[in-house]
Amino acid sequence: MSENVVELLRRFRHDDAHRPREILPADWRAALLEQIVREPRSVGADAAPSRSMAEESGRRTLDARIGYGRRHLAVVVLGVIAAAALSALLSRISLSAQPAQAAVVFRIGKHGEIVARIVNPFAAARQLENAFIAHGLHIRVQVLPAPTSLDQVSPGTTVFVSSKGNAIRMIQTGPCRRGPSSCHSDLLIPRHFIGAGTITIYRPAKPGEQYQIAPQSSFLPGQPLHCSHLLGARVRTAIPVLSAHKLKAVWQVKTGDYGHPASATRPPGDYFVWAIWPWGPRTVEVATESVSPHHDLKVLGAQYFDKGC
Amino acid sequence: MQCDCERCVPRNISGSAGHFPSMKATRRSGATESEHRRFERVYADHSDAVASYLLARTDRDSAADAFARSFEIAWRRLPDVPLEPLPWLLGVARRVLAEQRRAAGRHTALVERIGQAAFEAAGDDTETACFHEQVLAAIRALTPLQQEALLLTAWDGLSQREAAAALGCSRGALALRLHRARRQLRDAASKPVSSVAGIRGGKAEPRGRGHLSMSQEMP
Repeated sequence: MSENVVELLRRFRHDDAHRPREILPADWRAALLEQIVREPRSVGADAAPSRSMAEESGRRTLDARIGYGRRHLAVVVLGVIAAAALSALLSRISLSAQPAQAAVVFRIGKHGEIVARIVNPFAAARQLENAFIAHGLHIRVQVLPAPTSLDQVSPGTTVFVSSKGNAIRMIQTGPCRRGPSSCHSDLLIPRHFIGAGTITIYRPAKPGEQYQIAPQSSFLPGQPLHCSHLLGARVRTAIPVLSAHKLKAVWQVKTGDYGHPASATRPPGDYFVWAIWPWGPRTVEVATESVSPHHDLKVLGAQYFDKGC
Repeated sequence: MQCDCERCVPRNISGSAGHFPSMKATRRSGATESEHRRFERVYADHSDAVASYLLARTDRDSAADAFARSFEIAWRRLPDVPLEPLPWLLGVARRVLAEQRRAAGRHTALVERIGQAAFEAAGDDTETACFHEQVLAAIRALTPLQQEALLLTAWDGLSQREAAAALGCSRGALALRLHRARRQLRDAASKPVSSVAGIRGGKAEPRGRGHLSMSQEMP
């Protein structure tokens, strides 16, 4: 190709293209990488491109269903009228038209928003995602193992929703009891939402499985080590207490200033316990250091953790 | 992000759940170490090129979405990723972008993006703005595949073989597209610059000879 044509076209290249590291910074990319490699790679490996097409197809379907007609100015008026009629119709039929085993039920809300209710939070994440895709919504579903003792939250509850601009909102509907279908979370999605979102649901962890969502401390009320007073205790004191509670420990030992790598190696008995977290069923993670936590920290911890002791 | 329970922290999101940073990066994907390493290498080596490709063609938010989607597909289809992954990755990114555009009904997004850059490049120079507008019209007149063939080679530095791989066509077909695209651009660039009323306050005046004829002779 002529060098002049190349030079000419280079003038037309947007300046952003010369600053990829500034616009998509390294920490964002690292977080994305971590998120991507957590995804099961083998599942749907060959279906990836067709999934995109399915998303697209679903989005168009939704556009059509709710009268998303802004592409064609000439039919805006007709589109609005059609959308209103269709919305009214959909709001009447959408609930009744869902298959009996639907994981997510969609309807049009009072203000024209899409209301998605997850009626089977224990369905496979893929099934839940497909339900959204079928309605043109690119919602990623994360199902995280968690302890059954999480305060205020029952297994199957949608605990987090994130989306571009926080466009998707979540409202808890009705009392939240244990078991499938007992805890409904409605997602309110703007009608013209075309971004991506993520919802996080938690389920009870299986034996040996690490929690991905857990209380901040095993010392909190309702946790097995509540009132154990192990914050600031020596490791040699903590071990029999853990054994008495039939808890297995995953140890963290502070090395230098940079962190506490988890280790199967038990620290020396004269080390101090700085924190204990739920790690998995019958397993806790114990952070230790060679020095005792500061007195103030112990006092604050006692005030925070020892309510009701 | 909303949380119903003040006490629960998603460790994979916050990265820390207490006094200490969580060091538990679990791998629950079922992939082998070598697959992880390979993907991380692909990601490290080519994420800049993919990001540049996307940022040249769409706005920042859409580019970020498409970037994430492209590498997600690459991860899921890792066995399909060739030893020289860049053309393949750009091909995926191109399809993801096309889907985005179809979804948003913005079929002219690429030309809009080029137009922004062209106006930036022209600055206050009315003559240059007119010339750019003329070339932009020629770019608009190209088919999407011709545009992409041209830009993959001119912007992204791909060879004809690599561009053909990215577009999923034969090298011969790519050469033909490039030839036609180049000819149309050359024709457009060698025409006398016409007045484009409205550009830069409508200050442009008709000129008797082409902009290129003064400074750049297109072959």
